[in-house]
Amino acid sequence: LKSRAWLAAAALLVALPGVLRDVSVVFWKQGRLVTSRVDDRFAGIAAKLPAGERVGFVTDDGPASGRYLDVLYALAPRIVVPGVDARYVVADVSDPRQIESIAERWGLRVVARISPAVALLERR
Amino acid sequence: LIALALAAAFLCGLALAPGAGGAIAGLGLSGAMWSAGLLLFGLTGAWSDGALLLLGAAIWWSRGPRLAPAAKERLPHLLLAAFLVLAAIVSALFVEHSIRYPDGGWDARAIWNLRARGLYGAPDRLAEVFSPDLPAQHSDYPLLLPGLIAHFWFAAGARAPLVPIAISAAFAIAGVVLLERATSAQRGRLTGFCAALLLLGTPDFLTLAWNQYADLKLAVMLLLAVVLATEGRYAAAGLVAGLVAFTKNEGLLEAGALLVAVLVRAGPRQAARLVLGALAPLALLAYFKLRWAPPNDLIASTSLADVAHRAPGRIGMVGRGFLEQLIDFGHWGCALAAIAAAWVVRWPRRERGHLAPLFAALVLPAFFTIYLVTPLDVRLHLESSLDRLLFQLWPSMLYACALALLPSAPHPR
Repeated sequence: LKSRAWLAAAALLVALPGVLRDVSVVFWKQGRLVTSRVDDRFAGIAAKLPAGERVGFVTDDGPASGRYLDVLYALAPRIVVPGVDARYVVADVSDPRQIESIAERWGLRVVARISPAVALLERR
Repeated sequence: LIALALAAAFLCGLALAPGAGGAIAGLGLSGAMWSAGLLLFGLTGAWSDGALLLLGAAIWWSRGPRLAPAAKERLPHLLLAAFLVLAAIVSALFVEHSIRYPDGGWDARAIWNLRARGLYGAPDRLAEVFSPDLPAQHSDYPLLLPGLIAHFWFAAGARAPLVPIAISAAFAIAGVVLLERATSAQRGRLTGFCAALLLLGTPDFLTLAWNQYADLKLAVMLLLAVVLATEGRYAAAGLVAGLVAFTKNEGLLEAGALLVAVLVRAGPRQAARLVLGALAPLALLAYFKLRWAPPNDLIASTSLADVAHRAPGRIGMVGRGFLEQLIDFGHWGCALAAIAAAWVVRWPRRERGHLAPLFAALVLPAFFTIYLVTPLDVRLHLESSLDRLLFQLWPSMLYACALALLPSAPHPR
């Protein structure tokens, strides 16, 4: 019985740091509780696109930012491919001032500005 | 339709295994059955629930319902209280994080929920869902989890974010309960609660649950397969191992390791029963891979000559990666180190002949080999995936440790 009590104490001792780590992640690192939905950032884009058409994607950010992934996820099941070859291109940028210069550089025009950093562009 | 889907899943699962094991098997079968209907016949409706009900009825009729044995051993109040407090904390954190990020973590959005959105949004355009133009989205990954999510979205009539969250919660809760019940059945309730406590206290358990990753689902289904095989129910273990293979690519490797463990511990006749049990999900997996899935990016970019060239030079680096996990499994978790120390201390007095430790011992070198041959940058590959691979084995390892390292509990008077 004594060894079983030791087992319980040891299990608790080993489990506790893990749970404390979980608590620390949520309460000390995450900040205020706000729901963040990927779909909200790209709301309205899908309705402006022809059914089944592939969409391009362009950004001023690196791949680690996950911006491409977010567009792909929000517009699924539509296929979104990086680049500006498609007729329609979604731009999601870290610097909102880049939208116009990106459009200009690639011969695109802004169809809809979803937010300062997100726009739907179309080939001219 | 949601009630029908839930009833079909749980009734069929409970015909296979009691309690939490039944819930896990039922959810897995529900995802696989729905995926089979879509891939083979283009069906998305409630037919798969009807088929599950029929399957469950057939199993109940032939074998009778599986009821969980009533536990008799009394637990120390302090341990029970500690377990309940930790479970409440972990549950609260899960809810909090799910409110904050309902879409899940990176892999959930890049692979599992993305694929589910594809199946739900374009069930008649599967070539687009499994497009080879999106290699980073691993379109070749098996469909159990996306199929299960899409099935419940169809049942709900909307792409509700609550569905993948609830599925993740169901697998997590059922996994903890299954580990506790299965270990209790073999080594007494106190040991069972200790094992469940260690699982709850593994940071990756919560992280993988709230991120809605497939690794947690795979881990608890793998535990169920190991438990069923340990209890001598080889055909049922085979069926669940087949579901494991239909969840993630490495599940096939784990199912193979279970087959070898059964072959060694129980002989070729029981191994054949395991294979028979696994046939249906493996056939579905083969059909998916041959008909729909694009080539796997790792296999497509690997040749035997490359492997022979790079593998020997990586042994040290991969070994270091495994050692780092021993110290910091799942970020701050010290349970793996504690379990490893327990093996060293109790090695001379271990109970031999168990299937579960052999299974774990077979899978670990296979995981090691994956990193020796990977065409990716091995350091990045280790950093991004080793903790999740080890977690897939973690509940089974806890179960194996209880069986091999702790003597049977005395029978209650």
